[in-house]
Amino acid sequence: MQIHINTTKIMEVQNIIMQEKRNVLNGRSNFYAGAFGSTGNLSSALLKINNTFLNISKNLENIGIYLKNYVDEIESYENNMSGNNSMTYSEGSKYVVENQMLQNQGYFSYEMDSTKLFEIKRSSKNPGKVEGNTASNGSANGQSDSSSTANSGNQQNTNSINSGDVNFSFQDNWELDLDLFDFNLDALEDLEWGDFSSIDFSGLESIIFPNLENINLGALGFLGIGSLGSLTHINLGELNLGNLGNFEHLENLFPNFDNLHFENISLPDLTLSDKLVIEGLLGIENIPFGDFPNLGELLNHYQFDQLDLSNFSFQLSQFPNLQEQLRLGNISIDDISLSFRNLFSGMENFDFSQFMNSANNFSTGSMSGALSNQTGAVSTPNVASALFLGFGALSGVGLASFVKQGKTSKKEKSESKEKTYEERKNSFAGLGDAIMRGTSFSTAVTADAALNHAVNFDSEKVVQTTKKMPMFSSMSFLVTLDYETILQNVFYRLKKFNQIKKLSTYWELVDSANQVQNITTRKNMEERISCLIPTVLPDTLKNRYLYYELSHQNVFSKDLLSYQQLQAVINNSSIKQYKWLDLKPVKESQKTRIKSELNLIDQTVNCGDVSVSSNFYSVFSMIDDKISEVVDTIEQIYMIEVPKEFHSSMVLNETSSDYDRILERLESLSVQAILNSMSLERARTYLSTEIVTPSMANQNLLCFQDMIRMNEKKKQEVILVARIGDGVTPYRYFAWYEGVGLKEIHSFDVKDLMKHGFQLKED
Amino acid sequence: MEELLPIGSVVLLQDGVKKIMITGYMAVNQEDEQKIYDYSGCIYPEGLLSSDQCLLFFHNQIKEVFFEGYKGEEYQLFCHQLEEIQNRLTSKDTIETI
Repeated sequence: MQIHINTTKIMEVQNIIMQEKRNVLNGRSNFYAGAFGSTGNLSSALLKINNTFLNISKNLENIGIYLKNYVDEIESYENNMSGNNSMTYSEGSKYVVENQMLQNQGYFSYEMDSTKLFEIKRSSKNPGKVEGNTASNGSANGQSDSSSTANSGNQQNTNSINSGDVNFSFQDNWELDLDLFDFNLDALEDLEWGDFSSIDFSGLESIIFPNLENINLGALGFLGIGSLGSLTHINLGELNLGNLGNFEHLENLFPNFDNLHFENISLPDLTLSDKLVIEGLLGIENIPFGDFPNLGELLNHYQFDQLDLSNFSFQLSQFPNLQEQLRLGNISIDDISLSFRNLFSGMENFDFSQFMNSANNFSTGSMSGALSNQTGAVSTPNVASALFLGFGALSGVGLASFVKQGKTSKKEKSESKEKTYEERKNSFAGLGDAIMRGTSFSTAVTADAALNHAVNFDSEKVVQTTKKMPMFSSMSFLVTLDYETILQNVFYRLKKFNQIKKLSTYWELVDSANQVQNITTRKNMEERISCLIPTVLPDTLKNRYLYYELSHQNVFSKDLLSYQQLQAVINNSSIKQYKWLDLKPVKESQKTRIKSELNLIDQTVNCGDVSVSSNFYSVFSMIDDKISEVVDTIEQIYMIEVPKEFHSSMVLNETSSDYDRILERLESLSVQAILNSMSLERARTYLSTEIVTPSMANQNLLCFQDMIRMNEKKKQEVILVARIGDGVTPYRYFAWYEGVGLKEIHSFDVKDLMKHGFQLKED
Repeated sequence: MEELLPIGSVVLLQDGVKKIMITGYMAVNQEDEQKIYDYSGCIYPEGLLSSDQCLLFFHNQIKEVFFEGYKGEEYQLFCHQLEEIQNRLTSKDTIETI
């Protein structure tokens, strides 16, 4: 793998960000005034813009930091990569950050070879131009109208968010992971979104809002869903469409969707046309609705009278109640792959209420009420109208294209179109507040593409997607998705994995995970997921996977593929380059639990009569401490400076075999210190009792001789010289000198003394 | 006292079912500093599980020696000196009498 990263570009980005911060602080934001000037006074708008851009620039600064970290990681990764275990990036791709918004003139860009992350471009052209959808309110267009309505105004594979003359342009073929950059749009709370006439995400490939708990579209009048184009993944926590009800021309919304996830959708005041068709144009393969209680309630929200689900495929397993309820009828959905596409195959005129009836408990009371309004009309896929359910990216993501049955005159369409512009202008004013009020708006690029690639390697499309996917988009996945979302994603991906046969349904998977959790208190789903997902990630994360796998393989080998199994599958596939994805960092509680599981020093493992100490030390350190004590004592008592080698830090560095030597030297030092402080008489006594052995004393082999001299001050200096020995063994000489104390000397020292003027004192 | 086993030795203690690997000598539990254990160790094969836990035991608790660690020249010298230090510490506080 060759990854060439121009790190200087990162610095350029950071410098530009800092410069732009200064610009904003200096009030040089007039440039942006036009963006929001039409709905408020200029000073107010500037203030808001300042705050906004300060926030954005802060976040972009984070981008710079992140990029730098990413560069480091890439470099580290590159260094650690072996030759045949490399990741592939599409050649020629690049990482580009363009943001004219943060620079008055031109734009800054950051390029990183080999991976193209995203491009953000803002231009000030076409002020006031409404790009994106201009679908008419109340009109009824069929599928054939979709290209002219939904995608009008913003072609060329570019997505845009328009607000007056503000045009956020998202280039095609990029993936935006706002979560990585920690965009906190709370600061936009006061920002007027009223002028946003359309939001176009046709270039987006995936959007995930893992932390988004609520989106309230309020009085949103119009959203350019038709140009969501290549957006393939949307993951929302909760979607509240509020009063949304003005969408009637939304077609071809998500032609490339293969996954759409809403944890919860509430449509409290949604009132739609009485005949709706879920068109097959969507191309949506899966719509896991997460916690949505049942399909009946969902449909009730839509006020569906008629529902055509032809070509509309989603996983029934996502509707546990429905699954259970359908079992009561005559439809078996044991096969998880069962889709409405098959369910309603060939049913051009399908009375959904009959289906509901056949499913017995399928619908709730409210659902029945909703269905009771149906006229019995037949839905056809080519008759158009619209219901928009989605909202995405900065403010919206579309859910689906719901086509209203019925015909609308051209006049109605025209009136509706004119009306729509005014309505949406007004409604967007509420949208801003609705969206931003109390909404923490962080987003992340889904790692679905990577997952998809990992398990659908026979899909050319997915392979292409993965090539475009920057590595750290996967990484963001690690920390942003909740485990249920992860599990769902994993499950669907693995289901697509042709060679995986043993997988349970999603809910069975969940159940088994819960059971395992309950029974063993060992593991939760997110951990087990970490055992499953092959994707493109650095090698380092593999270790963590292995850790889990090793510690829990007995638990999960029953119903999930083991690491080895999955590895074998992958090795036999066309994918040769893969990494293991650890989906979530280990929480502290998990650490504790894992630690306790691995901690075998407890009642469950008997090591014998052993003392388990959490606070122990070696006597070596104790010796060291005591040496230090002695050193301190010696220093204090004798006022001498103990050589540093005896100090604690030095002693600790000594090998154990040197302890004796240290102690001996310390003892010697201690003795010397004592001798140094001896008086003349004490020295005589010491020599007679401590140095001279009893046998020597008996032989009277201790001789004292005073040596004297007159110093320069005419003062007599006396040195007591003692000689011990019988001459057979070498004599030992000691000398006592005032101020010096007793010291063992050598015989030549005596001669030296004489050289220095000392003479033997004659008695 | 018998010669201490070198570190790396794997032993089983009396009444124990889990093997222990010797990692050090003359360990003192701060909760009972009067007792100087001959060995410190960790469970085998897991090794040290945390930095704040250690197994302390006496030589005479060893029931079975499964593996004797490497006995180099250093070990012999160390063992000798270790024994002397141990004797000093157990007889009286030698260092303080220096």
